Amino acid sequence: MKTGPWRSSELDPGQEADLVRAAQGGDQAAFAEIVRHFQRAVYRVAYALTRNAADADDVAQETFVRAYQALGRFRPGEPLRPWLSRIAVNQAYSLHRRRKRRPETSIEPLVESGRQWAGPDDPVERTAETERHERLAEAFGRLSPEHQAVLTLRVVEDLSYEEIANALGVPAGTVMSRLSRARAELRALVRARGGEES
Amino acid sequence: MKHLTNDELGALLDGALEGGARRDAERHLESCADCRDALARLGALDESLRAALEHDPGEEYFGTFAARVGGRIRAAGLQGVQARGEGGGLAEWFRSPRKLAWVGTVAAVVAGAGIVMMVSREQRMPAIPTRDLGSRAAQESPADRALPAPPLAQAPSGSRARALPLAAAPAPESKAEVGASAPQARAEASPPLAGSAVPGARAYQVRRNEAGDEVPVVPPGFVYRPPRPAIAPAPPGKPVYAPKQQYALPATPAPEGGPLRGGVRPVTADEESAARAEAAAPSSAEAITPYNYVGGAPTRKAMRSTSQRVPGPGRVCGEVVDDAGRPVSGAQVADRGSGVSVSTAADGSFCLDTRGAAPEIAVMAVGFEPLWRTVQSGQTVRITLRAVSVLGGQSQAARAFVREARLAIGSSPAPGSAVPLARAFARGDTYLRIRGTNAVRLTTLAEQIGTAGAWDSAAAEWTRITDGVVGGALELPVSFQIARARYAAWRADRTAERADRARAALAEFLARAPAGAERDSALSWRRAAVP
Repeated sequence: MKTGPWRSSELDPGQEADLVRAAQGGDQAAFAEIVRHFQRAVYRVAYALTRNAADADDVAQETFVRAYQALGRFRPGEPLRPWLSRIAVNQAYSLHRRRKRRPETSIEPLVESGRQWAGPDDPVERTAETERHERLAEAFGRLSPEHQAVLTLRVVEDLSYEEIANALGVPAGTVMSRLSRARAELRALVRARGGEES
Repeated sequence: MKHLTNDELGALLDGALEGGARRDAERHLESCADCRDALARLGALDESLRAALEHDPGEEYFGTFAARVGGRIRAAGLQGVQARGEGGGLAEWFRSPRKLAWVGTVAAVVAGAGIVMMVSREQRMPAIPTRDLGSRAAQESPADRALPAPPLAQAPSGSRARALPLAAAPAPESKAEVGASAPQARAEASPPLAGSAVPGARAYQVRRNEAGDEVPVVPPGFVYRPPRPAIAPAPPGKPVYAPKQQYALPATPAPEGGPLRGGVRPVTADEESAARAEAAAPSSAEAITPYNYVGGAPTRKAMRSTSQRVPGPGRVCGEVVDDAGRPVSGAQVADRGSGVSVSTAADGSFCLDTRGAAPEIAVMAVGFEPLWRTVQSGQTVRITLRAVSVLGGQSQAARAFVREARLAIGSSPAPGSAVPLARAFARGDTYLRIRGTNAVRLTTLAEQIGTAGAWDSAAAEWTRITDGVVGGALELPVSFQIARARYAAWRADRTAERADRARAALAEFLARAPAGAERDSALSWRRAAVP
């Protein structure tokens, strides 16, 4: 299993379990530390599933609030990231349900304070790439919530099939077929919208 | 030839094919260009998707994220407690008219507190540049300080509910540190404001609602007018000093009302009740302190503390002024024992929860010399900061940063504690601020948990900032923190690798460490870590 660039800074399982136990014992600082360690991962899932910064912020924060409430039921030693991802996915689902419409990509109040990941320096190339990404994100937004979730956890979060199965509460075999269908559908959508299949 | 299915291609790409299935698929790929193409396209699609769905809101966003989560948890906790109240379910609340009225009261108080916070936040804005101008004037012309009533003191007070710092220069004789000066000033300041002598000039008025509670309301047609600095007639042969206007002003006469001595705003009934409500809340502000452990912006706690300026046991209140007696807003006041800090309000006032009967507090503000002082718990203090000279190559902020760092090194509260460094890092560049604050946090956490893993993380984070502090005042303290964390990690889990790291880090620190408590500690640790 390949490993994403952000995994290197993560806690080892022993540290995670220590923090979880401390937080379960009421140690606010330990829970704050858990938040700090997983805030980027949770935000990535939240952003992928909402594609706008304001909703991503809301989903990410709510994810940790729910995690805090449910922490007593969490078994120390289990990996935190799939569990938090599952909560984030559920929060995004419920936001979708509340909205009863597809999320929009237009208004991103927090974008100005942030910066996109490194891309080509050439402005022309940059624009072309940005357009391609926007088209792709738009196509992604037309997938079913289940397909969005499985692709996000695999492609953006780099979780293993087992971790995804754990996070989504489905058998590992289902992950493989669902991912495969999600990719095929995404490719078809991109092709149908006239973009080249990258 | 049977091609690989989409499932198989995907699983291969994801590294999820194992054993025989994987070998079969790889063997097929060697001979099938179509499947190799399909796999490459699949990989490229993933790469593009990853880039398309990624968004970095920036370090600032993540720096305050945990604090915001803490706020939400607190809010959610309050709801939970209310729902668990005597009546049982939520429906119960709506069946009882008395309880319904109570709910309305709570809502009104919350709304009132919100408006008060909005007003007080908004008012901080013009305060800083004005104070800077004032202190600059004081530096450039020492003779000006001797004027009995500086021109700044005559600014009107009626147009805002809260006195701005420029309206708050006290007479020179009050410069001495007097125990009860702030409460007195408050009492003197009360009548003109409470009487509402200037109709329509207040940001809000107080009305009673059905439940009999005072709630602030914004009067219709209210237009905010910033205070207008009046210019005093110049004494013969003396220059006139007045702050430069920062906004266009309508030509209205200056409102009536004498200068505000001390410039301390009376605490309104709304704030009192808001403060009481907050104090009575089951999850107190202290509960989220770990989330707020980020330098810079004033915390909720700071806002609460400054809104109920009453000293008591375990609490020190007072005001911070410059050497011309003008309030210094936004100064950090910290208890060196606990590391808890608050910012001063626009009128320079603060209240700080302290540990012990005679806590030592540190006071820092950009452009001023940092100051450390032992005070008595329950006392009201007046702290005068000396402006830093603007001469010299470095900016004021940079000089203050270096000075702070030196002070942090020179006298740590608990030997070796990383907490004073947090304040030093708070003034560094973005990278140092984030990394440094993080390192301090991890160290504090490691002190609490005490596991080898936690100390490893702290040491690793300190190591990351080494490059950023080479040759600076922080180089040695950072080196010490690395050594301390490495040693503690080894103490918690005595592996050969941790012993090596501890010895290396200790040697690194001892190579340059001057005589002192930290060197002594490091020497004893090195003796302990000898194999």
